[in-house]
Amino acid sequence: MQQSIRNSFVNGLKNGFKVSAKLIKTIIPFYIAVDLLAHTELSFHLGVLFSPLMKPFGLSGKMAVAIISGYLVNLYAAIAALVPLNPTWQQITVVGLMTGISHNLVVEGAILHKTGVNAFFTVIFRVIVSIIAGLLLASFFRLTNG
Amino acid sequence: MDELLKHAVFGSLKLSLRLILIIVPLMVAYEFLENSKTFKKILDGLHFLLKPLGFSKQASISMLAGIFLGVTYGSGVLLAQSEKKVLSEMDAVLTAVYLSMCHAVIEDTLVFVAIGGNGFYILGTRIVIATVITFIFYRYLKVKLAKS
Repeated sequence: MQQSIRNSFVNGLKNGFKVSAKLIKTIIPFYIAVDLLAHTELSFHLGVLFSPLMKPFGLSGKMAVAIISGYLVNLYAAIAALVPLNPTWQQITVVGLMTGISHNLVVEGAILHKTGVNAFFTVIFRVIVSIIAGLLLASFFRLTNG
Repeated sequence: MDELLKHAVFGSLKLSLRLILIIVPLMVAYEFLENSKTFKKILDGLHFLLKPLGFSKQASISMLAGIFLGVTYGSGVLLAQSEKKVLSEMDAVLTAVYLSMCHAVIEDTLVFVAIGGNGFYILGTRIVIATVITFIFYRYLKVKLAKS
C-alpha cells in the first residue's frame, strides 16, 4: 500500500515534468514572438485584416494568431499567443473552447487516421465544430453582457 | 528594443511557471485516480451515461481514458481493444467522433483557467456539443445499418 502510493506520486511527478518540458518549449518562443510582433506595424495590419473575421467570436483581429497557433500546434501555443494581447475573460474562454475542440490538427489527425477514420474528414470536422461552438459561446456572452 | 525583449522574455517565463504549477499537481492526481478503486466506479457511471449514445461498455473504457488523458493516450487504448476485436465498428466510429472533439478535457480546461478563463463554460460547452453531435452520428449510423 505504502509502495503503491509512492509509485503513484513518483510517476505523477515524472509525467508532470514531461508535460512541463513540452509546454516550455512551445510557450517561450511563441510568447516572445507574439509579444514582440504586437509592438510592430505588421501586427497592426494583421489585426485590421482579421478583424471582420474575428468579430463574430468577440475577439480582436490580432487574436486570429492565437486561434491559428492552437489549430496547427497546440493549446500552449494558443495561450502563449493570446496572453500578450491582454484578453478579457470572455475572450480567453472562447479561445479555450475553440482550440480545445480543434488543436494540434496535423499530429492528432494522423493518430485518428490509424483508428480507421478519414484524417481529412476529422480535421475539417473539428474546425467546423470549433467555429460553431465559438460562435454559440460568443453570442451567449453578447446576450448576457450587452 | 531592449526593454521590449526583456518584457517578452520575462512574460514568457512567468506564464510557463504559472502553467507548470498547475500541471504537475494535476498529473500526480491523475496517477492516483488511475490506480484507485474510484476509477472503476467512474467507469460504471460513464457507461450508464454513454449508453443512450450507442456506446458499449468496452467502448466507454477507451472513452474514459481519452476524455481524461488525451487522444494520443485514449486512442492507444482504442487501438489495443480494436485489435482484440472487442469494439464493434460502430463503437470505433462513435468513439473517434466523440474523442476528436472532447479529449484531455481536464488538462485543456485548467490551463485556460490558469490564465483567467471560465472553466465551466469551456468544459460545459465542449461536452454538450460533443454529446449532441455524437448522438446525431449514432442515429445516422443506425439508420444506415438498418437499411443495409
